[in-house]
Amino acid sequence: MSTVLLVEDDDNTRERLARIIEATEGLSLFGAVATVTEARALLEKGAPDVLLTDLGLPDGNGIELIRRVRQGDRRSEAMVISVFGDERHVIAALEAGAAGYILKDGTTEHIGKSLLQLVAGGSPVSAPIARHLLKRLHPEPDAASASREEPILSDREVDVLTAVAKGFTYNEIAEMLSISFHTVSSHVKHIYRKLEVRSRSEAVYEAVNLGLIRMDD
Amino acid sequence: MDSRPGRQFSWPAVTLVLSVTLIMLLAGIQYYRYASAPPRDVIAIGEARFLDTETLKPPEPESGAWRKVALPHDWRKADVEAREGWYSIELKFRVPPNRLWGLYVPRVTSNIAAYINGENIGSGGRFNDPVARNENRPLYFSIPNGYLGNGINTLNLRVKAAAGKHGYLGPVYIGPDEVLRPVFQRFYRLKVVVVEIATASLVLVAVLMIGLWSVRREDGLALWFALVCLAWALHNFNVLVVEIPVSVHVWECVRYLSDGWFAVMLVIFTHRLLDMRLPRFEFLLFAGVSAGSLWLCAIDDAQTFFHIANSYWVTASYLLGLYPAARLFSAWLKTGDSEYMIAVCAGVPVLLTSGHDWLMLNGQVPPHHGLLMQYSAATLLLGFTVVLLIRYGRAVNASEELMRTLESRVRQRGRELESNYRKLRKLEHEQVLANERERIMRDMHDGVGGHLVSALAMAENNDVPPERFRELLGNALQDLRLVIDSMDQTDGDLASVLGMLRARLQGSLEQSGIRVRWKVGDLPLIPELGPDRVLQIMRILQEAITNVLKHARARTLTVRSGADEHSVFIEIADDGKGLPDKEQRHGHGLGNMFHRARRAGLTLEIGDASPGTCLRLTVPLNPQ
Repeated sequence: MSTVLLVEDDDNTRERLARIIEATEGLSLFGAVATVTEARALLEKGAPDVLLTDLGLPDGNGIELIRRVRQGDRRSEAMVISVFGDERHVIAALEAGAAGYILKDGTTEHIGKSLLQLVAGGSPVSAPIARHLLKRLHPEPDAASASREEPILSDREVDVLTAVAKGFTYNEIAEMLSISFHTVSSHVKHIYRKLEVRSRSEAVYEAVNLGLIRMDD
Repeated sequence: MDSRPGRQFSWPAVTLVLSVTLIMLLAGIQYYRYASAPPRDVIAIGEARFLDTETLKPPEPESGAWRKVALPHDWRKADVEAREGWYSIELKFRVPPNRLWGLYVPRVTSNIAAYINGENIGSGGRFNDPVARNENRPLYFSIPNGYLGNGINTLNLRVKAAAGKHGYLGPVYIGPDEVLRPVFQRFYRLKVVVVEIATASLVLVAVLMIGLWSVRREDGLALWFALVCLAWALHNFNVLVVEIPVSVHVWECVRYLSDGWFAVMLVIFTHRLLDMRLPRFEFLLFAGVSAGSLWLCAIDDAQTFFHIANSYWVTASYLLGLYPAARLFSAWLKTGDSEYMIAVCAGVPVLLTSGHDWLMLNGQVPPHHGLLMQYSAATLLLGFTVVLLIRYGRAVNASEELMRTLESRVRQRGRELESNYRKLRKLEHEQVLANERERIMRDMHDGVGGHLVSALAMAENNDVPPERFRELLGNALQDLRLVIDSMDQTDGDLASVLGMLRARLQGSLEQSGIRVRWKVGDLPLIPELGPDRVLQIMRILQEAITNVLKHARARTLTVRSGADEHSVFIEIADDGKGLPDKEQRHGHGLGNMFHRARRAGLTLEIGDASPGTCLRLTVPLNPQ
């Protein structure tokens, strides 16, 4: 049984999502709160398997919470609740360590499936996000950088992302590449991890440059 | 050259120029007086006996009709018709000189030979025509020790005038060499060396001016000045050359013509200096002086030639020379420009000396000083060279000023352009923003707005089932998402647009239980594909897929894409019941789809696929 911490300030949505989590076999609610403060208080006591959080919260941003659980000892999984699932809003959360998003008005089935996929070691991804991940982690080879830099994504990961960006589902991709659904899903999760690590190392790099972090302590 | 609007008299400049001219004039006169001063403490011979005979040896003292004359002896005044004659002077010594003595003849026309006690001690050159011409140079003859004896010695001087000239003998001096020779040399420098230097300077300046003219052809000023200098140099050669290399006629023609043409060149030069264009006047002048030249040269008879030349030609030349002086003077008065005053000041000595020469040639002034005009070359050269330098200095200033204004204009122009460009950029930016705002407004109005208004109307009607309500609101949200997706940077990649669309429709597709066959391959990029057209494409395809889900009762939905070299196509095909009859189509929003396609420059085709329907949307690769 995997535990889910739900952070959502809209009462109706929170109640609906809480119901869906409770109703999904294999999931249970770690807590359902409306603010960052409340969520922090809960996280003091323990760690959920999954953090499901809205981004725009009354007293802060869900990204803070994502970072916190990702850097905690448990390395909880994180997922974002989004109204539109658009690139602009979701990417920052993915960089902080979230592995996918659910739409606020998503169907019960879809939301349950996404959460289960996450705890099972995979991740959902949508076409626009896949396209962004490709742009970010697999830039078009240009003469200067490509020759020197080690490619971040494996060929298989690139294949998966490219197919997702064109609208293919995991099942279709699995069939095209002769691999299992689970393998596709875990490829995607790996890609999310790479984005997270890369974002963090870039952030550290920038912080060191700015003198905010000293590397020797 | 530059035009000078009414300039005020600049009194400091006037004073400066006048002072410099006056000082130069006084210094020149002073030098002339110093150099031409007669020797002292020697025997000055002021009278002699004269006999106009053409013997080659000194005539016998008793022969013929010797008569007493005073020196200077001007044959023209004394009505001596002959060209040749002898002077006899008696010198008494109680103690004869026992060292080198000399005979100094400051002025003679034209040639002289000296004899002491019948012994020739020297001559000024040839006595046969063309006679050596010494009227403009002093002569000095050494008297060797022993030539002058105790008691009475006889000094005989043979004098011969050149053709067309009247004989003349100024005072002569006899004395010790060391006293007399320096006096001769001093006067020689004045009469010969100075003129040589002046002539060389004229030629040099002429060469420089021609050089200047050759690199600045459009400016004739330098050329005309060079011609003035050359004509004058020719005039000076007459003064300097003793034994002429050609016949008297040719030489005298050249000598008189040089005077006339000097005046002509001066006139043209003055016109150019004053920027006056008088082509008719100049043509007539050329024609007249040319005709006069030919006429003068054609005169064979020597006496007539010299009469015409001295009386008319030189007079005409002199009067012509007054014209440029008058022009320059009036220009100075009119404009007050100091460069004209300098020219006038430089011209005054020329007028005075050439006036003297003119009067002398016509017998109005005794020829004690000989020709003088050659000396005024110095002031004219100096003055006119200064004028030309001022001219060029001003021209250089003007062009530099022009460059400066040009540069500053270019800079200002650059600034204006930049600011215009910035304004334009701002306007463009505002235009882009306005267009985008308008597009979003339109999209909202078309999609979300319409759905919400419809939902509001439904909410007022209690009979509407909640499912309809949910559907409408779902549609509104869906459309909003399409609008948001369309704003994504798609980079013209239609495959990813299809990917986005499928992600959006995933819920409805899963719910419908229809089988989706997704046949989307790599598509060429269409960089011109803006958010507006992306949205229209997504709406058309969404509408098409929704129609299939709602109306077609199909089991399979196929989405296929492909491309040829002109376009990209997207096909949506189903295996359902096919299109309804025309009358029943209105609910399917087909008209709206065609309208959107037209607006976005797309081609939409819908046809039977038996079984089912096939919709094909074509996007041109290079929309014109």
